[in-house]
Amino acid sequence: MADLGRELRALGRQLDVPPAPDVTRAVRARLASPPARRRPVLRYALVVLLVLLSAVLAVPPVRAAVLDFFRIGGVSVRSEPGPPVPPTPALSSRPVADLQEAERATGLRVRPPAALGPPDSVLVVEGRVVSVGWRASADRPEVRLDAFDGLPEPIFEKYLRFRDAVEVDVGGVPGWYVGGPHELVYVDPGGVRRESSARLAGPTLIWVRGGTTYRLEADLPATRLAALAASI
Amino acid sequence: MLVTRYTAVAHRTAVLLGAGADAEDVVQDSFVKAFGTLHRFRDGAPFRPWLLRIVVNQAKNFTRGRRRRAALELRAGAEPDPLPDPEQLALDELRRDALLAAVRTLPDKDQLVVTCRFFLDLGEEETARVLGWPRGSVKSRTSRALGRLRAQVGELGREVAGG
Repeated sequence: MADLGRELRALGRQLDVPPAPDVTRAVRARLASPPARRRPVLRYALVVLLVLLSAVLAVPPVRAAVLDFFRIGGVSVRSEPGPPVPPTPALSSRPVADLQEAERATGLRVRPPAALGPPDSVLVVEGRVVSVGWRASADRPEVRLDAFDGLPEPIFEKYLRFRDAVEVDVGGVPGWYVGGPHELVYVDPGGVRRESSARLAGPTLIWVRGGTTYRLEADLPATRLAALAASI
Repeated sequence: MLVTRYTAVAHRTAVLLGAGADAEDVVQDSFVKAFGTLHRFRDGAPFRPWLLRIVVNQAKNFTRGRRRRAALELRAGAEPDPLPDPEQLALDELRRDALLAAVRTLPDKDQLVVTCRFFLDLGEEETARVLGWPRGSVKSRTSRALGRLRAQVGELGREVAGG
């Protein structure tokens, strides 16, 4: 059995299979034209997951299948009900003195928009997310900027069944604006969703630049977030 | 991205199942179908067998209309497998042709299981998922197919005493 099996495997590798065509574009186009029937899943809340590259590689195939469905950099957007949001999200975060210290801790070089002025807080979350906060001021609401590692290419960027997400231009790179409130869940390096980290996030812009994924959260319209984002 | 990651194996499966020139359409349809029914996905189940099962069914749809499936062909002038695998068998041309001819004479279901288990190198469990058969059937069908092949072409390397 073993010998014949090995022979057949060897034979299999020599069978004439033409190079695989690139069907990405065609599949994407067909998915983008919405089917006639609407499934109730479309009305569900958007769940945005923070995913780092290592986490993506580590997740089991099925989870990856769903995660890949709509992903930009280290953020995965899912169209399904989010987990319950606990009163106090449990994530280990540590305040650091400034962006330089955050960079030493994470290797991420974050240059926030000058228009926002000096940040009020700089946190290193779970050792791999730099989270910069500005308190509300007279002319703008509270702003939060998260930066973390992630794949540099967006996935299915034209897949618009996610009605609440729109594509915007962030200084020449594509970004996604999620206008409504949505659950935000942290995914650890083992690919495990930390349900206990769930929190309700406000309008957010997500984009990738230079291999770093950014999410800029503030109760502002897409155009203003995009303008701020473009100056990073 | 999902499509990029699985196109090669989906396409290879479609071709080996005889989809021939329709293989690209089979692959496209399969992905669209897979995404369209993603909500039916059982979380925690592996994606590849799920996709390949759709490919198998789509390929069947494409080949059903034709009298004969596109025959398995050897790559023109295929060198003995170039992969630097120490376990690698270098099949000589005659042996290769005989084996392939023997595979072509197998009943459809035997060809399916040989394609999955050996040409695609899927495990027993994954083959069972892809074909939608009980695992026991995969096992028995595989050994029956190997028996039939062995009857036709014998076993290579039987010179080792006590083999």
